Amino acid sequence: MKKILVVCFLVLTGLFVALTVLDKSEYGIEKRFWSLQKRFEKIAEDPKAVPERSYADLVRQYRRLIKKAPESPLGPKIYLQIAKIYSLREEHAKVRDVFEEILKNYAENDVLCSVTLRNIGMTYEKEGVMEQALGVYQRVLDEYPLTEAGLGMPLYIVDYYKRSQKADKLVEALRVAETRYKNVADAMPGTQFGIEALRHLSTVYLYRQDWRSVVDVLGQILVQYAGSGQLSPADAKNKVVRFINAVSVQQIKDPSVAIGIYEKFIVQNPKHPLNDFLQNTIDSLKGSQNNE
Amino acid sequence: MTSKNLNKHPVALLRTSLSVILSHPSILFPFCIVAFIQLFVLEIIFFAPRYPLSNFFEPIITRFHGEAFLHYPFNFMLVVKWFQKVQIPIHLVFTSFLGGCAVVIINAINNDKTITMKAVFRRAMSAYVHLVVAAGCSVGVMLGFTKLFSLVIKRAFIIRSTSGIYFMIKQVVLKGAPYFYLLFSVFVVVLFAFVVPIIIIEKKKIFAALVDNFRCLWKSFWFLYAVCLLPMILYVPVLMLKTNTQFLRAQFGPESLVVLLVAGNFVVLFIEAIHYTAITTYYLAKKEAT
Repeated sequence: MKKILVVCFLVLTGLFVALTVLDKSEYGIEKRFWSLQKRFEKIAEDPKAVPERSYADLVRQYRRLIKKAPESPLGPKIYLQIAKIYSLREEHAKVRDVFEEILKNYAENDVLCSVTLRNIGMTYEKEGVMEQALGVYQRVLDEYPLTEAGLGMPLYIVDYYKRSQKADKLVEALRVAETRYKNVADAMPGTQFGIEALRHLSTVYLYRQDWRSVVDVLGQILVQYAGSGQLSPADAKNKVVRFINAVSVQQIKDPSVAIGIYEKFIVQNPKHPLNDFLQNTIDSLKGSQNNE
Repeated sequence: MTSKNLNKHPVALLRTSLSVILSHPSILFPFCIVAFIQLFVLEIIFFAPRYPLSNFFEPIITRFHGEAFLHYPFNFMLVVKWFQKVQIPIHLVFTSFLGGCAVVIINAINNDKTITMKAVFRRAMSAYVHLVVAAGCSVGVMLGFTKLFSLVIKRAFIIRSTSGIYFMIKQVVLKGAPYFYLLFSVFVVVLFAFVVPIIIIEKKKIFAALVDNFRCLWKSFWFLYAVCLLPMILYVPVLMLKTNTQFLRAQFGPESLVVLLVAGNFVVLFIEAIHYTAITTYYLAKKEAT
């Protein structure tokens, strides 16, 4: 009996040791990162009550982690945590230094670099140096045009001018954004960027309160993308058709605009799964038209 | 201790069982094997998201749980989930058989016979099918109770009262759920208490064993319920910790979930050892008396 128990114990220990030795994953790094993150969360609860050396020590720990595993996929997250620590202390210049490190070390990762560059711009915004911020945002646009951050940047700039109530700048920013989104939508039809560009374009027209153009662009999204990988039937119903209805009825006050789009869609796509839903929508829009 | 005494006092029966276990630790051997199997499976699950086991498990984990569960600390949630899921197969395939082995050992001790593991395994193996079916019956009834009680929980959830009797009922049902399950599990253990001893000692088949079990249970159900419930008190601290995993994780890190899982299973195995010993001792005493 004792022999069997000893064998069982040895099997368990041997298996544990073997699997630990063979393990090439970043488990240890993930574990350490998690525990540092917990420390960060404690500091973030009341940043002013934390002594200076706690911040410095935490940064040092994060740096040590990067040194330990320079190729780790967690690398950008670690840098981001360091930036967050400096951000808690409102040391924006240091935050930018960390972001520059990300740009240097992960230059081949466009998505990461675009977001990082945008974050650099935001630090200038926090400091109130808007000219610098806009310069960086322009860099995001120029250097990473086909990333989520790059594509969203013209609208971000529009939003900034709207918030700061600079009417002339807003008009110009809207014009730039419109051109940009039209170009992308034309150049990349049937892609995620194509549909995103059209979505942003409809937002540009919303800013201008150009309701007819809003409906036209949404109609274009429906015709080009309904049922494709970029627009599920549920999204087509909830995010596009409902919005077209709302704008046509409430803003343009002419449901026939929406009806025209749907009728055209049904004629062009006679076997489309959305057709029943669109026909019901047409009927209810016509019903409301007759009631009026 | 006379069979009359054992029949009257649950504590006396438990004390006798405990002293039998202490004087004959071989009774614990089958439960040690169950512990080994559980720890072995736990190790596999624990290392599943990591190389080299990740080659096989990674697609499964990603498909059913998401990529996050491959990484720290979510991997511990996976360990808990999967380990709970394998409990029923382990119980049916291994624990049923090894429980039978424990009864063979207790019977041999009672008859002053020498114990050889080969003979123990051979005897239990000859009744393996019946042992598995018996375990399946108790698992089935327990799952039935769980299903029924989940309906009660669902009903309690829709009680809107924030005070008064309905609110109290809601609180009792929701907060007391783990303890209700504990009481149900004791009920199920008692309901099939004599099935394994009858299969092993009387060498009966499952249906005959079930009929004899209910016959034996007549008039001694609540006595046995007390006998089985008392050791279960050992599990209450584990249950209290299990219902406060957020606190545990925050205080001691996600690793504490696995520690609790292992500790909980050791406690359950010890309780099972006491149950098997007490029930078999009681069965043998009752048989002697008649």
